[in-house]
Amino acid sequence: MLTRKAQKTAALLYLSWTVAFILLFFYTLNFSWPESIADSLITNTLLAFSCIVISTVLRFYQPKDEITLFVLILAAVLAVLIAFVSKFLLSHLFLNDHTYVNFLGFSLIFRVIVLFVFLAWCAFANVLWYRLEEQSEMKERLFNAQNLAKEAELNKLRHQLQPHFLFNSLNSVYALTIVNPKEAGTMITKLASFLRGTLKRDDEVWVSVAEEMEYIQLYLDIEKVRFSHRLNLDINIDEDTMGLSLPGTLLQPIVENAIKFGLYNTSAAILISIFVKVKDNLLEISVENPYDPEMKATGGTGFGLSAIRRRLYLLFADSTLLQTSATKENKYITTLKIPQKI
Amino acid sequence: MIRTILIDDEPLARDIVKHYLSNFPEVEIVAECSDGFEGIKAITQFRPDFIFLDIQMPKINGFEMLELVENPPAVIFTTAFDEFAIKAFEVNAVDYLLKPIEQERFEQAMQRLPAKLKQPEMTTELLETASLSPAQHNRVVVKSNGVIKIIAVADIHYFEADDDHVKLSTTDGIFYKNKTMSFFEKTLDQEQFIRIHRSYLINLGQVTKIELKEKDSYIVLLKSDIWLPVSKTGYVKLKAALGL
Repeated sequence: MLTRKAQKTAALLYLSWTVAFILLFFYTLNFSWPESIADSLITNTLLAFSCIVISTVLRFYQPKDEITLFVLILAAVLAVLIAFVSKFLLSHLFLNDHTYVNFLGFSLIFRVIVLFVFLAWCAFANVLWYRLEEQSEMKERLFNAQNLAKEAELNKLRHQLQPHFLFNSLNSVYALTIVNPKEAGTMITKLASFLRGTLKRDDEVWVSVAEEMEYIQLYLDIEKVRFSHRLNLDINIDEDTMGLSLPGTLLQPIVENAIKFGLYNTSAAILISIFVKVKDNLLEISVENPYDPEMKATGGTGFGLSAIRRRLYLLFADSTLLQTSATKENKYITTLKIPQKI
Repeated sequence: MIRTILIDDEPLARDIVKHYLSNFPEVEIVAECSDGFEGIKAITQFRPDFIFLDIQMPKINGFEMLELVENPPAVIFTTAFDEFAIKAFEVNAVDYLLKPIEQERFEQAMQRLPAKLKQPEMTTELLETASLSPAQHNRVVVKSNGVIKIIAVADIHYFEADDDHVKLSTTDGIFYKNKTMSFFEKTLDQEQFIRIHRSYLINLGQVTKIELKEKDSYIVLLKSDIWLPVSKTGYVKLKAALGL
């Protein structure tokens, strides 16, 4: 509860306080040594215990309003209690010294007042202390929360930018400026359009199928330049889907996943097919990519689509909107269904 | 003539290195490879003086490839973005080129090359630092009878110390890897793999029974019907891992 240092200080304070009162009683009020020592020891020990009681009570219970009244009543009750208990004990100890017993009688009210002032002061100091502590704790929590939020935002940004894709694309563009400058120009504008699209995207913003597919096409075009003849595309968009729309953050990660497991994991030529159609009043987009069944086992996280599934759940409260299947020909099919806003 | 091999899965990335190398007539490109498997084959066949090596490649990455090559040549790494890889390079002062590769930086690397060719041994520390990368936590790449095998860590039953090798007992049989027990203990998920004994590191998912053999000495039964001894400290770790 208290630190070692605080305990030491408290003990020292208690001792010197007790000694001070012993001397006070002995020299100014002319009591005998036993009386001085007993009086100071009993009264101050009770006082010290009361302080601990107050501190403990206030640690666990501080009424929201009427805190002043609560503290004053607490201090008054304890002060009266201490005064009477010490008077009772001391008058039994020194029955024969009438002057002293008399003194106990008429000093009672005075004692109550001094004890009350002391205890009230102790209580208010405690209230203040706990409030300060709470405040600094709150500040720390706030600081930690802010840090976490910042980190999350940074991670999101980093993920959005896909540094690996970006730097590799830049390297390809750079190579193109030397081997094929005209193509390099096209690639730079495509990369710019793609990045612009990435920055614009947000879970809340819906985009039309036409716009989304243009964005996906840009992404695939860039990958096609990076991997040239190895990447073949077959994109089929049904005419009647053009007017439909979808949240702009869902399809790209699915296509990226198809590229990651279909293209990055092999050095052979591959085909990625995308079908966009309307089915049961839902916009249905399926992405097919080949995969290496041996690699799948070591991929671990089941093609990393869980984040998309979670987002779909947040958007539509339905996690069955994303489905995956694998065919015997080692083709992996990811199907995304989007209910349309009316 | 200095002989080199380019290993990168992107043709344009190889093109730019080729282009830069045209200023170095003393360097001959003997092969170009687009993944680690091809890389191993080409290195064994041509024994180049040095190689250009990308990290993120299909099937196995550049570090895993190096682990599988005996007496690997000097390496200039080329990579786009991989925090762990870059850390590994920095720690071990190996030459690496960040993509897009600057011509000046490339030439600098080539100037440092003669010194590196004299001492081509790849520091094992580089591979150890690199293996801290999360990409390498869920699989182990081994070579047996000339065939490269990628093993998912979930398929590994246990590791056993075997002289200067480590023996891997897996669903697909026994494999050996030229590493230390503490290497695997350090790099694999420490909640999944528990060092129960000086000589054994086991997959917790494989444990079916723990029995008291005699006073203070336990043995553990794996799903593959194998009993392994548990040391005193191993038992403490095992108990903690199982939440007992």
